[in-house]
Amino acid sequence: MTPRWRTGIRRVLGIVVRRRDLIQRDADDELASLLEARVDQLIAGGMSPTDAQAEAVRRIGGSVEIARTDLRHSAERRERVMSIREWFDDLSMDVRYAFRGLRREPVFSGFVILTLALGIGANAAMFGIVDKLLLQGPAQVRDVNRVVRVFWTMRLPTGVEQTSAEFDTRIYANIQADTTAFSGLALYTTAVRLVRIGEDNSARLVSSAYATANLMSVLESNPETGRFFTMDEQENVSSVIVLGYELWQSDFGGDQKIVGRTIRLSDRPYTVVGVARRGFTGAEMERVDVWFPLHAALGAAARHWTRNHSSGPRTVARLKPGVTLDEVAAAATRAHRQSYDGDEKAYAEGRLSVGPIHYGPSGVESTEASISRWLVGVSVVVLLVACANIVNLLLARVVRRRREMAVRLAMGAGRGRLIRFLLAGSLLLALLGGVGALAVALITGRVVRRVLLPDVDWTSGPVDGHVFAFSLVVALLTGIVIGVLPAWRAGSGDMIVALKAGARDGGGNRSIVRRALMVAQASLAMLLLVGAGLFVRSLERVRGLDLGVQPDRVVMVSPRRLAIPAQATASDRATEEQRRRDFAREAVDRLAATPQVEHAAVTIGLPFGNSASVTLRVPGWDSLPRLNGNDGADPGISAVSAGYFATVGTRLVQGRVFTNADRAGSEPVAIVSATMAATLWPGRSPLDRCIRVGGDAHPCSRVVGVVQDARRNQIHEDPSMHYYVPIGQEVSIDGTQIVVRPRGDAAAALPALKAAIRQIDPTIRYVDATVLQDRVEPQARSWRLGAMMFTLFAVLAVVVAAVGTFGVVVYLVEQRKHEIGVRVALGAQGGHVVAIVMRGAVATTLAGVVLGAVLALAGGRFVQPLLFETSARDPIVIGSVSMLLVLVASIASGVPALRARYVDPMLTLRDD
Amino acid sequence: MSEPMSLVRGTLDILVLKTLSWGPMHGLEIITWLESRSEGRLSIDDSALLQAFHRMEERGLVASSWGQTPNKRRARYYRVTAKGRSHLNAETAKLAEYSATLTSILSVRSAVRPT
Repeated sequence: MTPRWRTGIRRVLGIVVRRRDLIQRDADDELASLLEARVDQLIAGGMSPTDAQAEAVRRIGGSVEIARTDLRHSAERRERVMSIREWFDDLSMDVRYAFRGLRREPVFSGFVILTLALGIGANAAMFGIVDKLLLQGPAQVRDVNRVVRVFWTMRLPTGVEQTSAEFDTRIYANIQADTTAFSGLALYTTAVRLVRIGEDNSARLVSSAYATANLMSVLESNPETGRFFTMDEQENVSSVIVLGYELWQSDFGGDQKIVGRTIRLSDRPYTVVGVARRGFTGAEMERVDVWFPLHAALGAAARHWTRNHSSGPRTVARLKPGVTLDEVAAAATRAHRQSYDGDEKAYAEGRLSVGPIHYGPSGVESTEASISRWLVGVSVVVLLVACANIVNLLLARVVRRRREMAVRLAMGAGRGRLIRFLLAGSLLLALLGGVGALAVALITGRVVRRVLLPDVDWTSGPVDGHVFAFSLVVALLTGIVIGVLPAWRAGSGDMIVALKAGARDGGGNRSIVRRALMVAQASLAMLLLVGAGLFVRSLERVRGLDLGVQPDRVVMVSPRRLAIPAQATASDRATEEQRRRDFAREAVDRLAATPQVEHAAVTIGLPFGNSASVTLRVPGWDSLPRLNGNDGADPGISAVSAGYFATVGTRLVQGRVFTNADRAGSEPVAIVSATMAATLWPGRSPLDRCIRVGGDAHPCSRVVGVVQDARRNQIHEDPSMHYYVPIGQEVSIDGTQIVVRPRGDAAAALPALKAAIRQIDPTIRYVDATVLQDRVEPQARSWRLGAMMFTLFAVLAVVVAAVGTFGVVVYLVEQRKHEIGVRVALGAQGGHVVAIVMRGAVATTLAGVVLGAVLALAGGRFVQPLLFETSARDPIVIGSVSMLLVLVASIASGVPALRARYVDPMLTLRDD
Repeated sequence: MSEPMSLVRGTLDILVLKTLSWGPMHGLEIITWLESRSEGRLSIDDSALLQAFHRMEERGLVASSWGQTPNKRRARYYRVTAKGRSHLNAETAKLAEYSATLTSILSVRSAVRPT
């Protein structure tokens, strides 16, 4: 006997495969009946029974056995072919019928398709991002799974272990020479926008990076035309470049004869030796327009350590087949330690580790990658909410169509046919949703790319072959998921009852499923809302940080000039430096006088820009105290002009700020940060104290003021000691910068500021102007991204759940019209009717909220590392989100409930 | 009475369909009808005919079901489907044209006669 499950499958697929023995018996019967009829006919014609028998056998070919076998074959073949054709015929009918059904209920179908489009689209968009970030890696790299980054870990003097992707090239030279686990190791720098292409008004900065000659061979990428660098070009300083594909296309029209041409970058001539393939970005993902050879010597001399240790470029390597990351890391560490001949313990004990290419510079997965992993999870949850919701609506529809189903069953449609018919409908819905999803993915993908990964050089659009295939598969799976339960319901036995009874009541166990689905979708929506709330709060905390400066109000203006030639004498150099400083002062004075500028100042050293420190002696201290996180350096110094604090927005706490009278040659004065004052002179006034900038040999600078602490590099860092001296009184620091505080929107003022500078000195080739916020923004990006995407997805989930609840309650009211009619007829008040209807919906939502809260509390620790000064169990977030959900549920169920008051008892009762 | 002749491939289906166009018949009825109409010139054995029915049912030209003969015997009845009918019409036209062409070529008398 055929096992039950097989008949089950047949039932679901609706293929009427008759059992083989039945088909054979059928064929045998046919043959026998023919023979009998023939014998009868022959006897009737006057033959004797024996002769008739013989003649009948002769006419079927002489052998009953052979005839039987032949007939069995042809019968089996017939059944096979016919059952397949029937299946397809039925399918096309189902699809046609499903289409008609969609058109008959356009609002229902439109809502389901839209919901699925959003749910699947969100997944497709996130899949596209993760595909690039985690699976495919940088473009034009072959066998990316064998490509790894090398990290350097050492213990800082503070005792903290620090891992970085950037390390001394001598470590590189040594592991390159002494390890065999890598099939190649290359060095490169990350892309920066410093190189100028073009002249005057058409001048712009392009991104450039340095790389060793073997970068392309390690990544197994070929140039589009020409070649990459040679070892000779790497070891000797040479003026050759490889162009990025996009720059080659945009500025040189894809000129095939570009190789050998000389082009000017930042006023220097370079010879083009090759063009990289489209999208080639080395081991990083940021676009590179120009590649320069990275000067890295590898000879014996280059492997010898002296006292100076430095940090260098990044390293990318290809593993030999069959070696593991740990083996390679151990081999590299061994090679380094054996070769180290310097005298620093931290270096001697340093170690190397190896990680996959999607790891960030600190040796762990990049924040963007982890957040996109989270967002994948979130988008799956959104899809689940959408599915739960649609299943509920479909279930309701099945009940609504019970009579139709029952009629179909009664008219002889197999249960399997019925199930398949419903499945065809849900698959059709899902596929249409999938088509819509591609549009959603296109839009969402664009937004996410711009917000999450603005620097990544995307080689394909948000919807590529992978995303398309992914959407198709997800759509099919979704179609099955949303179809199975309603189909199962429809196929279950109580259908016949529906024909007999009036098809009004809901039935007990069906509403359990419905409740469970509503609870599930409420709890998932709750989870997402909690996530969104946590990220929004993190972002609020980040935004609310008092950085000590106001980066959104400050513009940095840097005139670019020719570099001072290397062969210039010290006095020439000093003269040029002085000339530039004079220009900066003049420019600041003239800018400050214009109406659109509030304040302007000259500074050396700027928060989120550059910082410096020099030897500092303070009477009363043998050595200055070291604060947390400050790895042994003296307090930071800035040299600033009179308007500096007003320009950047650092508040004066005590004393006075600098005036124009504080200059080179006047009395040496200084302003200290609040932390410095509190650390060096606790409980005493810091004013009129003496600090010696540059060491004991230098004169006293009298402290004239105290300003609030300002962040130097990170939006989240421990306060450090910092002091300011008037520009002109600084010791051995340089690099003047102009900072401007425009009136109104800082970004809008950029073109006017650039023009103003060029007007003051027309010989300046290029003016770079940036809002300081642009330097700060990347540090807040992960929270901004999390807040934005979580909120987007959570709103999506809540809208879907709310509309779903609305739909279900409308249906429930419809179903309970009779009961409500009776109640109204017996004198129930309107408020009572509303309460009955709403009670169920609000109760299930509450259950979902509680379940979601429990899940959120349990899962909190996973999301904690991504938050900023916010507990993953923040009671305010959980509380407010719960209230929001209950409110939404009340509205979604309240509207149809209010309508239920107007049920006319006479109309409904007359139905019977 | 001439020798039994073999059928051009595909023609048997047309003949069966033509037969069934008079109404549903069971296997032997079809065979007898064909035999009487061709005056015994068609030589097809019964087993081959049954297989042909199966093939035609497989192609959707005919449909079958079990029924009772006037002599109260069980027999499998065949009837022509809509698809079979249009197939019959199309093929009949084709065959007629084919045979007309053949006839017109073969009936040309040769101009030169050996003496």
